[in-house]
Amino acid sequence: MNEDPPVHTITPEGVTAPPDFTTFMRNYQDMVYSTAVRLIGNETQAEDIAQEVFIKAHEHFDNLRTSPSAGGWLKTVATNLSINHIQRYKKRWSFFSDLVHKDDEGGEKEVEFAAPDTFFAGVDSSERREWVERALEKLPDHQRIPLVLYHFEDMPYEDIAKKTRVSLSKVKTDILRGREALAKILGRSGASHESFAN
Amino acid sequence: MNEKMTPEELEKFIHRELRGLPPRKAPAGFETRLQAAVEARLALRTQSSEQLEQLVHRELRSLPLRKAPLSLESRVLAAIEHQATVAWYHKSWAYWPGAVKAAFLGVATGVSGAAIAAFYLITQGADTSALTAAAGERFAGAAALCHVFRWMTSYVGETIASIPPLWLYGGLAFVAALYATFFGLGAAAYRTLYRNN
Repeated sequence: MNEDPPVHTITPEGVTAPPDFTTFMRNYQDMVYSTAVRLIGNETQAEDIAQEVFIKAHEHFDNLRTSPSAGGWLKTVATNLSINHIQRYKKRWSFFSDLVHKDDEGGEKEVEFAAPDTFFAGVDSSERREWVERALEKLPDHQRIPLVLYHFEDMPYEDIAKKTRVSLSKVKTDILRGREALAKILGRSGASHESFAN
Repeated sequence: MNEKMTPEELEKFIHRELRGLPPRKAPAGFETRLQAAVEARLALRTQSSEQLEQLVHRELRSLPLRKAPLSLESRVLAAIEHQATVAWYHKSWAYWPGAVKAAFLGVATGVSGAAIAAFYLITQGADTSALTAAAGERFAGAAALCHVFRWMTSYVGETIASIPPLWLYGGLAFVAALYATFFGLGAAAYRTLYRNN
């Protein structure tokens, strides 16, 4: 079954279509790879997904090369393929993975994260980005995926719940826990700390 | 207090006395102060949650795109080239040529129609002996294969029946235990060697 989203082919004025597929791929490969790697949290698997996205793009290239929404189309396909991949992988390996995430155990916790202004005081910006990327990778799938969809893709909670096939309340909890976990990981590498009641 | 009380009696006595105390009245304004404290805590929690959301959002959105690996482009082009060389009959239906799709649909419709007609005739009590004889002549090889298959299944059945049940169940339990051990070892190896990396 073809699940690829439709391609809109009206080219606005001033937009030049890439002459060939290689140029088209060069224009978008970082965006596609970033989407996949942030969702999957694994560079090798993200490269496989990016490859699959571009193979699909090649099949639709006649429409995509002149489409103003080519970027959006590629992002949607990359997101869908990444989520499908994680869900397939999770099912296959669920027995081998930890069935209970200790971070998810209930109860009120005191969450510590650095004050926004001093979060990365005195840290080089490239190093800071590297920290955030690594911290994101360290999050468990069930927190990282909704967090990435919410903050990078601007997807509302309802859509994330539909896409990841979990309840709305779980999506909200996972995103909140994901933020807290991210802040904790970053806080360990950051400067001064501020305590916030959760 | 009676000096001759045993520790158990003392425990019971204290327990009875304490449980017999009437509830104390809350001091004036307690309820208002409690409400204000709860509201302040809720406000603090909301504020910290919003602050956290803004902080995470800002940090994540400020990240530049990750650089795609250099190998990606060559991998994609190689995969596309490979796909172009794969014959249509090795690909899914969507890639089949239009004429082949049409021919396939025609043949599939014909076979389905014939199957439905045959089923109808058999259920209506049509004489099928002539057809069976003709098919038997034409597919003599298939009949021989069926005969070999029947002989093999009966031979395996007889062999299994001759094994004492204790040996049979013991053997099955041994295989199941080996399988469970293999699965457990695999899971332990994955958790220790792979997940921790």
